[in-house]
Amino acid sequence: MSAASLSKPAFAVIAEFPSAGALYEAAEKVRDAGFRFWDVHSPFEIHGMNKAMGLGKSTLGYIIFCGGFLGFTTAALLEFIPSSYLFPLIVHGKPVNFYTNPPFFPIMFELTILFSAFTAFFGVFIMNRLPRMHHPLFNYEPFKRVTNDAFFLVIESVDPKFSEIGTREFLEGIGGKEVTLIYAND
Amino acid sequence: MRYEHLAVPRPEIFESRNLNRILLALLGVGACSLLITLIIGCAAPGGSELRRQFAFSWLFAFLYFFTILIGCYFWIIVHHSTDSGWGIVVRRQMENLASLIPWMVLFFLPLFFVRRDIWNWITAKESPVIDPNLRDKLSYFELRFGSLVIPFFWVRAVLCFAYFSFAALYFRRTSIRQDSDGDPKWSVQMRGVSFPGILLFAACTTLLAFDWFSSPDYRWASTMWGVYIFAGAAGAGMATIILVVMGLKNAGYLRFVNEEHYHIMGKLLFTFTIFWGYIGFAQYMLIWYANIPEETEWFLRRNVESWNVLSTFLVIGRFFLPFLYLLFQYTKRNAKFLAAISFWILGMHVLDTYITIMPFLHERGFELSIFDLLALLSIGPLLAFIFLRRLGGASLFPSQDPRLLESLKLSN
Repeated sequence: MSAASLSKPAFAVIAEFPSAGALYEAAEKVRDAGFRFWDVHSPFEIHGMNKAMGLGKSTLGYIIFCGGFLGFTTAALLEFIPSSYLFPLIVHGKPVNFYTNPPFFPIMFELTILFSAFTAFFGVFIMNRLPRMHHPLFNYEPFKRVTNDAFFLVIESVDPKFSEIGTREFLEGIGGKEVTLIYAND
Repeated sequence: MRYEHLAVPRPEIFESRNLNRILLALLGVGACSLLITLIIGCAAPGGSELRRQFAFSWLFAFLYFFTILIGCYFWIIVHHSTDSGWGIVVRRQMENLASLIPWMVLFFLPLFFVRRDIWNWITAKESPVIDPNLRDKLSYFELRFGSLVIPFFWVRAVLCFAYFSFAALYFRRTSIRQDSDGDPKWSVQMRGVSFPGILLFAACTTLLAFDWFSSPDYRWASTMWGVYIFAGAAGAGMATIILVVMGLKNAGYLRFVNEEHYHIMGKLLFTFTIFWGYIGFAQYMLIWYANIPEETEWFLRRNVESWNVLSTFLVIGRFFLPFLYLLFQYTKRNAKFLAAISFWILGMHVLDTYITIMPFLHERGFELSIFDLLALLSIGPLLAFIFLRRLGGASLFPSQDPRLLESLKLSN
């Protein structure tokens, strides 16, 4: 290891695990050890991992509900105000009143979905602080395999329980292979 | 995922001996109502007010229970064809419920005897001047080859009952056979059968919906009608499965069914709440928009006088309320909340069925009749009796299914 890299601050300790099952069980142990700033990386979704990591329920659902409700209201106002009050038109000989609403429903439905989808998409972006051009984990060459066949567990140095030596030993103790210190960008 | 630490549960057999009093009560109520209803209904002269009330009440009760049972059957074939692992622990209850379908043949027989009071095309085709609407459609009800007339309506009824009965019994029998030998080949075989099973299910449900439940108004046509019946059936079927599983859990069986299973069943209930609303609206909007007299007649009939109140309430009660209620994760995972909405949806299914059938008879607003209740009480308790007797026939869950552990360690 070069002298230059030693002078950089540490970002995290990374450990590789042989399988999704091993990663799942390691996550349970890291959770029980009381770490807070850590994450797991795998090529695919592992069912139950949020529980193994001790993650709470995301607030995203409530935000999406608000977005969807906003979409519904937008569509309803955009349709009822002009068609029922400002410029009532008689189409197909149907009466102009509140109950002549079936043609409005598809638009309410679609704006609800559109606004929910936008809220979900941008909500995920903002909550994950995306877009992001670089991440210190990319400094670790083998991390590239995470989209293919490797399972990683990362404990970040900002965690109050983190120590370069102690965390390494802890990860080795729970079965991590290739435990490596990753440096932050300078 | 590793499952070694999970103990494989031992097969559980339901003890119906402890239920003798309940069984007797069900049998008593069912048999009494059945006798009273059938005697009055059959003694009444054909075409009379009483006779028609009996006929339509019986069709209403038949539709209610029949759709619930085919809904349960639908969940079996979906479970197999999607190769699902989540619901192995509850699948036997779907099989037990669906295997009641052969008994529905018996409950269909009264409809055959009062056919002239229900399906008015039978009398209309005998009149000297045939309604041109019926003349165009008659080849759907009867196949004519020269002088040979095949009553296609009844042939379809027989074929559909044969399909539902054999398929439902096949899935239950095969699943029970796997309990004894644990051979994965049965799972593969059932999956193979479920694919054509889905196609036939769609065909049979559509035809039955047209034949039995909308042909009292033979002029009406809607391509969505079969799907509408199916949407209601699948939702009500899932509600019934949820309640049966919860009932068994409360009785001390199936202890390993937890909120993860409830969560998935709640999500499916939610899905079919939305699907019902979607289909119901799609059908309504197109007919409303096109404004063709033969089609709008259906909805006009269901929106005159007090029917309008019921129809409006159905939209709110069967769609908007359960939709908002089931939107939250907590209500799907909590047993009490999920049971409450399951009961509600079964209740709304009664209303849905009532609005489907009864406006044929009472054209000036709804009139409750004692026959409505008696017909429900004739079929429901007897089915419950047969179901409880059948429960003890095999383990309450597929104890040797290769995916049992996967289902036990379910997480959403």
